[in-house]
Parts: sequence; structure tokens; C-alpha cells
Amino acid sequence: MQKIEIINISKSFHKTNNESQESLILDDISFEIQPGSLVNILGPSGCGKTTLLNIIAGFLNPTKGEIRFDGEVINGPNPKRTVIFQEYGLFDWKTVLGNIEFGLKAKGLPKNKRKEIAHHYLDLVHLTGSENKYPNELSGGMKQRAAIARALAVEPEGLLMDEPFGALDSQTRNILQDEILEIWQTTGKTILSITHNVDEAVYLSDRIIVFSNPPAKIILDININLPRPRFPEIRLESKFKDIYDSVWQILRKEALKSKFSKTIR
Amino acid sequence: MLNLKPKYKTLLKQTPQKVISYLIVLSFWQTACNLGWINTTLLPSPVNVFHTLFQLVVTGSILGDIFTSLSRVSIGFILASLIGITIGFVVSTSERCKNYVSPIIEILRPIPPVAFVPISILWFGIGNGPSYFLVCFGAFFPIFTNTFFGILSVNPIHKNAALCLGARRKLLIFDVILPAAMPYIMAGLKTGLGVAWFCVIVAELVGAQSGLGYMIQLNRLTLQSEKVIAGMITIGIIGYFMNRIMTIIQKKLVPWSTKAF
Repeated sequence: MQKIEIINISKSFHKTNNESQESLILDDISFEIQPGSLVNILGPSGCGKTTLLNIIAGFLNPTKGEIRFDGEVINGPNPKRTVIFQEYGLFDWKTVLGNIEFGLKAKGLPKNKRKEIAHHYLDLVHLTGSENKYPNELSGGMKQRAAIARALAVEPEGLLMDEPFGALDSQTRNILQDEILEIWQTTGKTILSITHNVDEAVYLSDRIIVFSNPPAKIILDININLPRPRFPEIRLESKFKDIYDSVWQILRKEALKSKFSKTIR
Repeated sequence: MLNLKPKYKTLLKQTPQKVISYLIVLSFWQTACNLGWINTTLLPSPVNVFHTLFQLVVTGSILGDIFTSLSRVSIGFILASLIGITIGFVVSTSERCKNYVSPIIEILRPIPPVAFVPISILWFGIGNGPSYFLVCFGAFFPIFTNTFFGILSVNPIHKNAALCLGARRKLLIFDVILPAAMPYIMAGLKTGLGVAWFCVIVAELVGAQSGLGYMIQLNRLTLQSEKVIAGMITIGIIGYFMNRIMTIIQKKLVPWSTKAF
């Protein structure tokens, strides 16, 4: 199996108003993600968690440090790690089926084989019957389902999710959380997800990592020892609430800090 | 009330309005001619014009000119599309190309295609040459500009999604970048065809001895103004249908586009 190693990652960007000045977003971040685990990164908005995800995906290069996936240093996007975007990133000009087949086409599979595999994943995300629709005919939840099927169809080893349910209403969000848990349990893929939603992080994860305000450092790294499989009722248990509270307190303090520093500036 | 689809309902509602506005203009024109307010040698009455147009079509004498103009515009337009889309694509993907090509385009763009008529006659002689050249030159700019901006406006999330799914260069270009830019490219082609039709008529006025442009010019020399106007109306009708056909193609080719047509 595959392990993701994040080794001394720093990332700085040029400030938009001043080319010569750089601002540090990620400050020497190191951690490891065990094969088959489900990890959530939480942090105040603008803390650089998406930047880290983009570096792991291979869309961005780190300023310092390296990321190893399965022991190999990452130097670009690779279908071993597919990404699920908050805004879905579906190809508007392709049907649901065409979207799911895209990665298989990139692999060079023949058409009938592509169709067969795509239908399997269509079924997995409960989208059978919508395969010939275009993304603009789908609801947000269905779009994200199609995007999940597309990301899974290439059989990646790891799934990177960038606030995957952030654009959905809370009912759809809860349903999709359960579906992602089910998919994770049946496929055993390593999942790294990013969210600003504490409830979602506690409900889904084996482990939660909390980032500080930029330059981001890890301020909390805890294992969530709630039993599995998890069902929505677990939210009512005191153990869930305790974890939720402890994570929320830390996150809240950090978010307030950034708000405070912005006011005095 | 009839149970019609909303599409037909609005059509039914709009049609009388259109017909009424045509009728008002035509009847005013006809009355002015009948009352002698207008010199009918210069502006013949609509009845006369439409009779002439009918005769031209029935005897088939205008059909050859229509065919000639259409074939000229097709060849010039296809050339412009190939060149415009290719250059638009190359320039939008390479910063260096953009720096070299855009100054040339910026200096050529403000020259109206009409200004190229004399030189194109010198280069290609009287015949098809000037028409092809002018149509191609005129249609190139909208096609090029729209392709260029269409490709620049491709959402980076689509490129990233394609890359992480394992897409290589060829798949990225043909399955992601070009289709993503297609609504813009189609808009460019539509505008380009309008300009192309305009250019072919201009080119034929002086640079050819056939086609609709030549036909109206020739009839001016013999003072047959009813034929001149009949030719102009034909040009208008064909231009209108070209635009309609492009709209239909647009809806077929980019059904996902939310842009208004």
C-alpha cells in the first residue's frame, strides 16, 4: 500500500501588491499519512490547507521540502492521486458518462471497456440513469457524485478532496458524507480531505490535523478513536461531542486570532 | 386556447408584429411611389421590385450569381476558420508567440477589408482571387480573437482535473481546452461569417465579373434600379439565413453552453 509523506514543506507566494516581497503560507510542515487512513485537515480560512493539497496533487511545487507518495517524490499530477474539487471541476461539454470515461481514455482503454468500468462507478455513486445528462442538468449533489465516480474510475491509490461538500446544502452534505464513508470502507483507499467543517472532520476521520493561521503550522494532530462503521447517530454520543468541542475550541481560538490581527492592521 | 409548446406560442405572438412592421414600411413606400413623391427610376415601387425578383428567380438568371457568391464565401470562410483557429490557439498557448504575433495583428486589424480591394485586384486580377482574399482577411479577425480569448478563459480547474486523471497533451488539447473554448470559437465563427458575406459582396463590386455584388453593380450601369434593389434584398435574405444556420449549428455543437445565442 501507499503512504503519503509530507516532509518539511514550506510554500511562499509573491504578494500581489508587491513583487519583491514574499509571504510565507506553509511553514515547515511535516507529517505522514498511513495507508488506507482517512485524514482531515482543518484550519481557519486562508490558512494554506488548499495550497498543501495542491502541492500533494502535483499542481504546485513547494518552495522547500518534498512529498513522497509510495516512496516516490511527487513532481506533477498523477492518476495515482486524483482530486475532488469543491466546485466539482466536471467537464461541461461531456455527459456524466463522458466525464467518468475521461481518465480511462487517458489510460488508453478501448471504448467498450471504458463504458463497462464507467457504468460500475456510476452504479457505485447511485447515478445510474443520469449517464447521458450534461453537468448543467445536475444538482450540486449529483455533480459531486459524478466527480467522485470520475476520480475513482482510474483506480487511484489516494483520493484528495478539497472541501468536497463545501458547496452543498447540509442535507446533501450529510448523505454524501455517508456515501464517502461507505466507498472508503469498501475500497480501502487513502483519503486526505480538507474542510472547515468540524462536524464533518470528526464524523469522517481517523485523524484530524489542525493548521494555524498563515504561516501555517500544525497546532493539533489527534486520532479520532470513534468506533466504525459510523452512523449519523454517533453525533449524539458524548464521546463525539467531547472530540468536537476540543477541536472546535482550538480552531475557534485560531480563527479569532486572525480576525483580531486583521482588525488592528 | 390552442395547446402549443411555449416556443411556438411566442412565435405565434411575434409573427403578426413582424408582418405588421413589414407591411407598414412597404405600404408607405408603395403609396409614395404611386403618388409620385419618389422618382421611380431611382427607387422603384415594392411591387415592381418583388415582381423583378420573382422573374429573376423563375428565369434562373440570379441563381448563378447566388451560387458564385456562396461558393466564394465558403472557400474564403473555411480558409479564415482554419487560419484563425490555428493562430488563435498557438498564440494563446505560447507567451512568446503572443509577443511576436500580436503587434502584427494590432496593426492589420484597423485596416477595413474594403481598403484591400485595390491591392487585391493588383495581386490576384479580376476573378475569384480578390473575393477569396477579402473574405478570408475579414473573417479572420473575429475568429482569431474569439479563439484566443476562449482558450485564455479556460477554467484552470478543468486543466487540473484533466491532468490528475492522467491526460497527456493530445487529450488535454482536444478533449478539454478546445471544447472548453468552443462557445467562444462558435461565436467567432458566427460573427466571422457575417463579415465574410459583407466582404464577398464588396469584392465582387469591382473585383469580379460574376456574383451578386457584380450583378447589382452591372444593373446600376444600365439604370435598372429594380434589379439593383432586388439583388440587395437577395443579399439581405441570404445573410439572414446564414446567421440563422450558424445559430442552429451553435446550439447543436455547444449544447452545454449557458451563453445566450
